[in-house]
Amino acid sequence: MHRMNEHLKILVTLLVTPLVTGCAQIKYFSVAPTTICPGEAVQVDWKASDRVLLSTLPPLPGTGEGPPEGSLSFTPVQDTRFTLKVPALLKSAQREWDVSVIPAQSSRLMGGVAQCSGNPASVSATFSVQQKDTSSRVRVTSIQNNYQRTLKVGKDNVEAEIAPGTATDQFKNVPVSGTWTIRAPVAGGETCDSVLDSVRSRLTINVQMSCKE
Amino acid sequence: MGGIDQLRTIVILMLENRSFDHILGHLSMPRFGNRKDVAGLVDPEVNLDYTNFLDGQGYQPFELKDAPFAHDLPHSRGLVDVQLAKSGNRFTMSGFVDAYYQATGSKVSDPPTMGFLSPADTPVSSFLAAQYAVCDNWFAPLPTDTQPNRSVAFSGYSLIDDTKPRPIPTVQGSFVFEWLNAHNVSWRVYHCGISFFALFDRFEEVLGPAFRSFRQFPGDWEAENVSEMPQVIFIEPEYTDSPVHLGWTPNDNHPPTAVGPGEHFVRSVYQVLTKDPEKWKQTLLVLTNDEHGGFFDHVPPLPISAPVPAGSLFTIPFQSTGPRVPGIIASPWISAGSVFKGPMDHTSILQLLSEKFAGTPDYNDEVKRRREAGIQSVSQVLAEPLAQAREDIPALPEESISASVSLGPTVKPQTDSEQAFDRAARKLLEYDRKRALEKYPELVHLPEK
Repeated sequence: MHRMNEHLKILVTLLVTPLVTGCAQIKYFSVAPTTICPGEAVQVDWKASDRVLLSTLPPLPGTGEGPPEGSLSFTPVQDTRFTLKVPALLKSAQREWDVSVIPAQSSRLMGGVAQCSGNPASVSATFSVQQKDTSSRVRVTSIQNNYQRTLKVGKDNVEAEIAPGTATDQFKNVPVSGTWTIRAPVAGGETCDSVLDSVRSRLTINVQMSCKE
Repeated sequence: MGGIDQLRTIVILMLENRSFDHILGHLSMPRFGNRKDVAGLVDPEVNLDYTNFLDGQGYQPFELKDAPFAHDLPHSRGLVDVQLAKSGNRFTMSGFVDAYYQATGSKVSDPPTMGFLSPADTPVSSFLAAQYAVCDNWFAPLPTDTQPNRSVAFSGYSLIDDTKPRPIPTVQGSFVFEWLNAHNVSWRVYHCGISFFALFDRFEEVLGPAFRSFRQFPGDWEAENVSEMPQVIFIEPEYTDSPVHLGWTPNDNHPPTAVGPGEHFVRSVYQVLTKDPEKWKQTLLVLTNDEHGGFFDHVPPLPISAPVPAGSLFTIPFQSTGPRVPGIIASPWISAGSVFKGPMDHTSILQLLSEKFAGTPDYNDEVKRRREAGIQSVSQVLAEPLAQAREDIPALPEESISASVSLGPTVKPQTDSEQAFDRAARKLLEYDRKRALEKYPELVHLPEK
């Protein structure tokens, strides 16, 4: 009888498990901020359909199995990938987030999709870097213009005209997080379309960054 | 019609879900061949023409090592819209990372959507592109996922704009089997596991003598003389989304499956086709992918709209094609290193069939409309054929296993595409269980619902 019950239990488990564990789901997972300075902490929040497995590469203490909903803080000292998994017998759910710990000097390509407007016309892109993405301690060292045309870059109260292929330190110590605008004036002999064509409808800058002491 | 008069058999192999830049973009890179004649990727890691954006951060294409993926990539109609990132009247192709984040909830520095493969991971595709013709302006016909694009590929029309577990509806008389039958053209399908054509509820054909296991392909090709060979052959991979894998591992290139098995599959097709040089001289191989599968491509789609056909299950017309997909045409009537730059999509194949077997490219009204909008026929690749068929049969590069496939236990179908295959398999069994199991024995393992 006991043996039969065991068999029954196994059979039921085999039949039911796929239905139950096949629906592993991660409803929410975030790591913030994702760009930090050495010594800063990040907060990991999650909500899932079942118990989770949080891991990092490289490994950090405090990771491992956790409840379906939770929040933890970590202080990575180097670039780290956080992986949240809801293990299931058949098909797991998984999400990954990367955290970047910027060294003394770091460079990042930033920008957005460009549009043409205004009188006189200029092609411009506006983009925002949230504090949940980039720590407020991460500051600009310089801004590099990657184009063979003059750019006008603005953030907060700072406006700078950057000659083709050059860099400016006028944004030194300005937080990277916040709203940026990049403008490429439409010169004589150019049209909105020709400028948008030349920049492939996007405008970018290279932001040299470091951490405020 | 040029070179198509020389052909007896047209072989069509449509893989899944990879963009042109992802598979063949490397062709134009200095470190991988430096072909300036191919519109591939140029300095992808630093070229600002390719930058994608998420929350103000720029992402560049990067070299991805072929391997199974943690996630499928987004390629539904709504998320393809995000990828194309239309601004004004321009498709900026800058939203692939954004769509990946929206679909997967993962935010990583190397989102796979921006990955391109090197020739080491696509040895057979790269080989065929080098030895025959690469079409670098071949687009998925619609900016959406598998079922609508395959519907256009096999009928010219799509009555749907998404992939769902339901029979794929078709316009009466337009389906390629109907068209071939009406024009007395012999055809055959070689499939690994369950055929995609089962999803069109074409059960009588799918269970009929024209559908054969790919295992029979080498023997048939060897045994049949030229006059017995079918004039059109469709070759189907083992689909990742099939409900049961037995005897075949997925080799269709659909993420999370890596491309290694698909490359091996294409290799085996080429080996069979070229085994007999005399038959090869009368053969054309068309190799493409049904859609881009969520992988970045830098070329904006063609502004060719697709109106909503009568009886459709959707109401908003498409304004453009989908992104580019790989297009390779192999035949001894094509010079090594050919590049065809004319605009193409999957209806280019239907134009070819119609030209070859009906004397006009206008397979039906929709194929005609797309032709008039600029889509060219595969026959144009052969518009200036060699005076004589090539005598050489270029040898494939040595085989190397570059990515593995891990098969888990059968899983309850989760995605719409998996559910669609599951539904078709069950319907096929209901239709004629005996014949279905003779043809697709793996379906005996289909779990009870």
